[in-house]
Parts: sequence; C-alpha cells; structure tokens
Amino acid sequence: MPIIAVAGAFAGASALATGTLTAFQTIAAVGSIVGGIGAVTGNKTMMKIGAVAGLAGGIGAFAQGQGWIGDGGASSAADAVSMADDVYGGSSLSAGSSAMDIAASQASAFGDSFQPMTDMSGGGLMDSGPIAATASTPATDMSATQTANPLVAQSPTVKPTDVAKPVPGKKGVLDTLSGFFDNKDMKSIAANFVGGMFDEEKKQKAEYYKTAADTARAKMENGKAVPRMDFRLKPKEDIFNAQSPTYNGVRPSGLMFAGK
Amino acid sequence: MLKNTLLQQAQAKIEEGVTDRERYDKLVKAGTRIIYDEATFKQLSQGITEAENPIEDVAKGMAAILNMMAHKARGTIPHDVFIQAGMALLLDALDFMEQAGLVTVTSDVLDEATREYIEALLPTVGLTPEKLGAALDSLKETMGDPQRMTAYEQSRGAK
Repeated sequence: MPIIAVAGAFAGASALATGTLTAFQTIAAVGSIVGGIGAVTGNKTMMKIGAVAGLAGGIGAFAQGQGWIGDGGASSAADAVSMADDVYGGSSLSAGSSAMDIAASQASAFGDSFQPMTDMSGGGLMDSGPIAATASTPATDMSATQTANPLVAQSPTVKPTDVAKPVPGKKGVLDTLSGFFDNKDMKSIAANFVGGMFDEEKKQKAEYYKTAADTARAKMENGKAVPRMDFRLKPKEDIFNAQSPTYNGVRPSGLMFAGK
Repeated sequence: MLKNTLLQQAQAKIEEGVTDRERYDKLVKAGTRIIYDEATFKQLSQGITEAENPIEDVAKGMAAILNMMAHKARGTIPHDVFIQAGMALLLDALDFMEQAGLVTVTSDVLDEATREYIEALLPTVGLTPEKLGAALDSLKETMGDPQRMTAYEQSRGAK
C-alpha cells in the first residue's frame, strides 16, 4: 500500500469516527466547491452538480435534524475503517480495529520518527510533529535535494500522487450526484420545490406564475382595503388663524374645499 | 497571491463560502508548508512532470496531502473546512504549475482538477459512490413528502 494511501486510511477513519460533520453536511460543502468553480468557469454541468449537492446536503441535514432519516452514511469508526480499506484495497485494516490500533500496526510504514498524535486539540497542526518539523526551506526548483521527511521519504518508489486509482468504468461520486436528479421523479419533486431549477421551461413557468401570483395578491390586497372614513386634517398654519376670535375650530365640511 | 486571474476568481469564490476562517487559514498555511517542503515538493514535482495527466495527479496529490493533515488534526477540523482548504491548495498548486510552464490553466483544466480532487477526496472521508448513493436514496422519502419539504422551505426562509 502506498505510504500516502496509509495516511489516507488513517484520515478517513479518524475524521469520520469523531462525527464532526455528517455525510450531508459534507455533500453540501462539496456542492459549494463544485458549484462555485462551475460558476467561475461557466461549466453548467458543474453548476448543476453543485446545486444538486447543495440541495441534497441541505435537505439531508435538515431531515437528520428532524429525525426523519439516519446519519446518511457511515457513522461508526468501524464502518469508516472498513470503507478506508475498501478504498485503498488494504487487507490489514479490519473493521473491528480502532483508528489508533491501525495507526500502531502501520506505524512502521512511517519509519522510526512516526509518533501517533496524542494531542486531541488539533492546535499543534502548525507547530510541530513529523510533517511541520521537517518543513524547512521551501524548495525553489525541481532539482531540490531530498531531505528526510518521514511521511514521504521512506520509499523512493512511492510518490505523493500515488493514491488509489478509481476502477475504470465505475461511477464516481460526482456522477452519483448528477444522476440523482436525472431520475424523473426527483426532477419533478425538485421542480416543485425549488422553482424548477433543473428544467429551464419549468423554471420560466414557475417564475411567470410567481410574478402573476404576486400581482394578483397585490390587487386583492388593494381591493380588500377599506378606505378610512375619518378625516385627518392637517391644515397649513397659514390657512386658518387659530388665534382669531372668530376661529371656531376645524369644520370638516368646510375644509373639503379649503385648498381650492 | 495567485497570478492567474481565473484561479484568483475561483479562490475568491471558494473563500465566499468559508465560515471558519481561522481554521481555514491555518490549514492552508500548513498545507502550503507541506507542499513546498523540499522532500514533498521534489516528489510532487517529479510525479507531475512524469505523469501522463499532470492535472489528475496534482489533484490527487492535494487530496493525499489533505489526508495527512486530517490524520494529524485527528478529526478536530470539520470536513467542510478541509474540503475548502484543499481546494485552495489545489488552486495554488495549479498556479505554480502554470508559472513553471507545466500547464496552461484554462476553464477546462480547472474543471478537471476540481472533479479529480473531489473524486479522490470524498472516498477517503467515507463518501464512496455507493455510500453517497445510499445517502441520497434516503432523501427520497423526505423529498416526496410535501409537508416535510414545506417545513424545509420554511426553515430556509427563516434563515
């Protein structure tokens, strides 16, 4: 197993085990990234996938909050480890192992300097440890001499780009997201609730009806309005001399034509 | 500071969605240090120059580096921050590759890199296509229920 893949397996196990974010929140985050990049590059497919992921993530997280569905994905460390194993094709990561057990069993892959982290705060990410401690001078050219980075220098045949290759012909995660709303039923449901975001004609119709409904509603409100019959007169000070001995107060009937 | 204007726009777009700026900055900084560490950089650059598809390789390399950081952070950082920070690192790497004359970053290149990055990263956090499909399937009942969807719409309106 490539060294990076081992690191990946650890990450997958430990990150999911804490349950810091549900599957749906992750899907929503992916939607934000993919949709954002699609908007910049003008790629409509990516915008659609981003919108689908954002919508699915949002609805999923809400539904979870309401208790309508489960966690929508792996929720246990064992499940996560099992998945990491599937991804990297490793046989040594058993579903019953904890992340730390795996770390211990695979520690030799990182060399003697690998120490499982005991600081659970994550605050030391930048300060020390096997990665940052060896991050010395930034390389300035491609021929920079190799130094001892325990995470990458153990095997000259392993490259940081050695990650699990997807199985050819197998559907990827983005295909899965895209395919979700290509289902006719889902398209129809989405059209009803999000203004037909995946169907241009339906979207335009939805916008037209929304505008028409707004206009009708405004007219109805106007029609319902009862005119106020009480007069609120604010005569200009210079029209009537309230100090005059002949001034007898405001007489509405007389004021109707006062300004003419 | 990115030199390519398309990448600059993409970076701005990504950062629009960042809610935990402190952790995001910290991760980007840590990731940059890892990428430009002599040993990592040499292997990355060698892998990229020898690769048949350097875009695919750099995207997968970023996903792998992100996994190292995730392991080191021990799950204390939410996935969304990791995903956003990883994308920022990928943009940085693409910009560097363009400066080094390895690629010309166009819209198509950026799209491909993003797809490869997501495809490489999600399975490592447990979201394989199968798991994702199962999660999406679990939504069908909710999405088919007008009352639930109305409640969802109302919750969005309340925000």
